[in-house]
Amino acid sequence: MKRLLLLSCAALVFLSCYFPPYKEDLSLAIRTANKLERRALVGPIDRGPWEFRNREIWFYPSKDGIVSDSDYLRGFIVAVDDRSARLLYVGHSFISNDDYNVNSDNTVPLENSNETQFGYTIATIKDGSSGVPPLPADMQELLGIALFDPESNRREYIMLAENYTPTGGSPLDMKLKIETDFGLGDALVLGTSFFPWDTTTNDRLHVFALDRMTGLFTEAAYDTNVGSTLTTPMVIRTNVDLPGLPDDLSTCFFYHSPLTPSPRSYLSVYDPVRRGYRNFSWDGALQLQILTDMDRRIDLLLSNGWLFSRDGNTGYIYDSEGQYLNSFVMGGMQLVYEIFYGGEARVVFTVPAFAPVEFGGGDWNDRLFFLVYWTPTDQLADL
Amino acid sequence: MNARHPFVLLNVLLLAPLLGAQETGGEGEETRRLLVYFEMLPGGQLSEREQDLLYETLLIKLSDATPRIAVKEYGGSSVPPTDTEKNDAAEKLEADSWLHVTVSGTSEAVVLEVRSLDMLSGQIAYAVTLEKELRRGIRDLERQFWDEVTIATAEYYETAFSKDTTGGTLVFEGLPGTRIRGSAWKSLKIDTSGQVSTGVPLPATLPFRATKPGYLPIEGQIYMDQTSKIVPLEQVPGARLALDFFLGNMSYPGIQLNYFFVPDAVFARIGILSYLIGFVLDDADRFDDSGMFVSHTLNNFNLSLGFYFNAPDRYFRPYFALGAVWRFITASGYWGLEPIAPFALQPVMGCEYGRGRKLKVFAEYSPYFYWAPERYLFELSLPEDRNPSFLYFPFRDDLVDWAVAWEIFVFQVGVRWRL
Repeated sequence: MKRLLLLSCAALVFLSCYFPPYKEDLSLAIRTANKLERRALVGPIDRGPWEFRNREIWFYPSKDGIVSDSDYLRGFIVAVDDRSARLLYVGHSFISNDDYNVNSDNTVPLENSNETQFGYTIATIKDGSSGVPPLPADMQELLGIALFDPESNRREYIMLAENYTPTGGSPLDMKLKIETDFGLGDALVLGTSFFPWDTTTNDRLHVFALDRMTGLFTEAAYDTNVGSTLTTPMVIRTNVDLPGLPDDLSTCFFYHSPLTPSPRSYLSVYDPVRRGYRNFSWDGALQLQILTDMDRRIDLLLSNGWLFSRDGNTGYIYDSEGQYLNSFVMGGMQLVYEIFYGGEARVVFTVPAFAPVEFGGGDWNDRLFFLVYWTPTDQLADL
Repeated sequence: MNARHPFVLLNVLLLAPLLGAQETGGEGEETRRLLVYFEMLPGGQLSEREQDLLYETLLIKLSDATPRIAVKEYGGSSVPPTDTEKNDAAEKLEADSWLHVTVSGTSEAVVLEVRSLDMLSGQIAYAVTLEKELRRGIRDLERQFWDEVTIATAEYYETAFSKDTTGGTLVFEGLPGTRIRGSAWKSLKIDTSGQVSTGVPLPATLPFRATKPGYLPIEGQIYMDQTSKIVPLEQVPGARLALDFFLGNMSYPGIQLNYFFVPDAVFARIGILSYLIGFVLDDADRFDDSGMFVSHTLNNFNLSLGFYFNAPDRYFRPYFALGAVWRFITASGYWGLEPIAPFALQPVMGCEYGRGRKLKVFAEYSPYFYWAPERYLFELSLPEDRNPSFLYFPFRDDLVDWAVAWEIFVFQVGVRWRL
């Protein structure tokens, strides 16, 4: 009996380090991904062990590449923690081999410690230079970030550009092409968001700002542009009084759809008393509407007027009035942006995944993969 | 009566070569076992030494009388008073006949009353009362003192033995289909009448084992001392249900219910192994804080069929089962089949051990063969820093998108409680 106990204890030590072949985030993502069209598998990308520990990882495919590249897809890895975003450009070498490679690595400070407060929004920027490989040496991949800088308390827009490695040349670090405010004078920018535009050269950036002297609001739009400056704002509305909005707005989640027949703006603000979000919308007549049936944060305004919200493992779709349409499990899947392709609006999802790879001596690296999926926006209600 | 007096014992031993004494008749297949009751009646005037001499020389002479008698001594303190009690005592000592000698009188006139009963036939072999003189000493004891007794004993049992070796009939009563194996026959099977009979040698001790699928085996010994004997088999059905509590890979709890189509032999099993809570002893997971408990929102439901290789009364019982596993997620936002590898085939090679009928411990080797419609997704779902052991079929991953992944090291250990 004693020998049996000893053997059992030895077995306990030897065997009790077992994990099943299962990752919840990946499995839940694939559950929904199986209903989407897979656009590409990006990877493998080998990085050091635990390099992205305690960071949330996103992959933003190139908007030029997603509509033109073949099975291989370039883009940006964005690894975010509470105070910064680490940005890595992932390129693909068509010349030498089939590997993905990381060409640059930059870190920008941003505020992300409170999920109930707007901190930043990111998008890859179109420049119309999509094309089949080999790509020209001076072609740029661009990443635009509207962020609230915690160090300087500035609310600004930056755009970083990544050059492909020139033939025979050395890889270049990501360059800061633009660092600018929003050209709205002393108005405090409360929230920004990107909106897809059906062109190959630009999308829209929408901004909501408050004149602290007058208490009146301004909504402005910008074309994201590959040039050296953010275009001057196209004012949507200014000196707008919106009674009914919370008095102590310092940040908010703001969205605007300029698409006819009914251009509309949305605001999502966290209410700590109710421990939920209050959602507002208004149109050109400035009739403020409270979306009473929706207490989740608006994470994206879609081109068809629907609202997307992410809550835990689940994505929710609401109509423009805030009425529930559909929900689907997401797990580790992320909705990165919406894009027009052949005149049809499509939503792009990515799923990050890690695989362990041993490189000798019992040491391990992380091998990253990003599964990229997309689907017509209108099909989100049927997922 | 035993030879307790050392002087007597010495004399007997010295005389043994002269007496031509034999070992107590060796027991063979054709030997009668004769139990000797020897008692001194109250009022007898023989000394203890004389009593011992009488007893020991009787034993020696009886042993020498015929090789077909094996003499046994009754070691009790007092001789059973009745024939029935004598029979019982003899049967306990595995004798099939007895000889009762009572001694009284004086050394000048020893009165011997001798009776022998053949237990196999139930008859008195012979009875005689003798008066003898003991004064002539050991030489007389050796020569002729016991002749009347030993000659009569030999004459009867040599003849009686041949009459009793025709054998007897052994009848088993039990459930139709029961197989009975024994040393005296090849194999018997109880028919629809509920009985089976066979001829057996007589007398004999016959071990047997009765088995019937679905019932606990019966083992025993039959002492064949009658020309006909009926042995009813009290057959107890095996268990129909059993409940397992186990740990998967010594970390995750599971429970199973076994239903025996054939009790204690062929079973179907349904169970669940849950990874919702697990006990892990190694270093911290790379992305979580260290701790002894982990949780994965995955559960394995299994359904299998199996059988045992040996009888239910064995301590070690190996078994085999084959079944299917469904991997079921219970996560916030989704309860349903795991999409990357929703099913697996699971062969089980196990062994249970237990001395009691109800509670057993068991250990199983129960690898998973996962069906992965997209192999690369399955590889991406492997835990980091755990170095799991998998073998993929096909071996090359560029042939097809799908794969069967064999998870090699999967063990289950637990207790099984038969209800």
